[in-house]
Amino acid sequence: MRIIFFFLIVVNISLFAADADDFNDEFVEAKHEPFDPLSGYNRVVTNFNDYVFMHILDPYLFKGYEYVAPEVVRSSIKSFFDNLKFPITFVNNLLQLKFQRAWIDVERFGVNSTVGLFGFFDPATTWLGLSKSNEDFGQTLGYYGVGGGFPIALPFLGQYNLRDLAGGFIDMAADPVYYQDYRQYNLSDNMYESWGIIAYKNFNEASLRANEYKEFRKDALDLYPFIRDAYEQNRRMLIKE
Amino acid sequence: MKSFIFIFIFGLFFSLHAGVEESVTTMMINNSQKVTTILKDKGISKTRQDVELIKLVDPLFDFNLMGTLCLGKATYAALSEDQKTKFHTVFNKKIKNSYTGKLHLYTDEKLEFEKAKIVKDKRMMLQSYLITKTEKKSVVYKFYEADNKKWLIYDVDIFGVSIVQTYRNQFAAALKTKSFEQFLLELNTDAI
Repeated sequence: MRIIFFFLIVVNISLFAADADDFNDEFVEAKHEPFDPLSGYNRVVTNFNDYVFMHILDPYLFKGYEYVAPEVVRSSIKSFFDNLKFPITFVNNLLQLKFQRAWIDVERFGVNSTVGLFGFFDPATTWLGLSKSNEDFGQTLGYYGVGGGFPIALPFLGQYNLRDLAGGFIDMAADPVYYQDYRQYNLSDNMYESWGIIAYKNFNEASLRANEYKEFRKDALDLYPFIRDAYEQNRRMLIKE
Repeated sequence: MKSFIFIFIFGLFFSLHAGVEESVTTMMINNSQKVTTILKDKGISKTRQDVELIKLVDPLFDFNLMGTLCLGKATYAALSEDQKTKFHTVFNKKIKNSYTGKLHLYTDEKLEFEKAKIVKDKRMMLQSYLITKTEKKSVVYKFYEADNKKWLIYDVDIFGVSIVQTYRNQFAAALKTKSFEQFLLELNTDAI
């Protein structure tokens, strides 16, 4: 009996014992730069994107767009495009063996495409509590242990890494917004229309995140490594989920 | 009798821990409600709102520890006492401004909390979700138990991005090419 009591006391004390020295173990040492063979190009592209955002998009184009399309309208448009991501999230949930999530995707698509008026509204979340998946082929590759590879920044599109960029091309095969000749379901009639829709979709989404971007960039001492680092951390969380 | 005592001690052991987790969760829920009230109060200026927000969040965070972690153990240890004091003053101001700035972004959004979990010795994590009109975004508060038995936040993962880790990488990169004084000057201004 005494042994049990002693054991519990020891465990209890050890759990609450002061050990302030091991915090550093929780964070990655930043002694070595990550493998970034395109760092010069990436830095130029990131600064270009930031300049376009801060000097053209935010003060002029977003302001005008917000005037004609208030936030509630832009959110509905984003919901419409999010609903069209169903084939991507469904397939990638299946590939990651997340069968319950895949079924929720089916339910969400069914409810939002009908009751939610083609996805412009999201009753699946608000009424039924079926939350949205955020899965893509980059995450599926990460789930099976494929590393990110080196970082790549794209003009107007932002930060990626090699794995996620390759994954994005694979996802295009399932995404109805990207026109594909061989497929029955396409949102547009040809490739040119498709690129126009994609540009508008990204513009609409960026307008909703404008204030977030402006606030987060204030934390940067040097913009490119800050964005690269935040991107990688965010993707790691999404892969783990 | 023996088994009764065993169950009693065992129960006491776990209830002590469960109590801490619940009290931290409740504290954060109450705090977030107060934050929302301040943010929605149109009768006071933004500057005044910031003062009130800092009053609310100040007792929850260990900003000095955050600063130390951001610099890294070895770099921090190499600083003089004067440099340490100056660094903490500049860093605390920056991090508080950064945090209140982010709170202003989400005035109308709802923050949902799960129950806090002890993850290891003297460490607790509180998973919360920021519910926007179109997204559910993860925000994780990381706590440690300070010497005074108070649980304080030492890092926040916003959408998977750790504040400490991000600053840590940036500070390490900056200190490779700049003197500590230059770095501090840069930290004290909006760098970009």
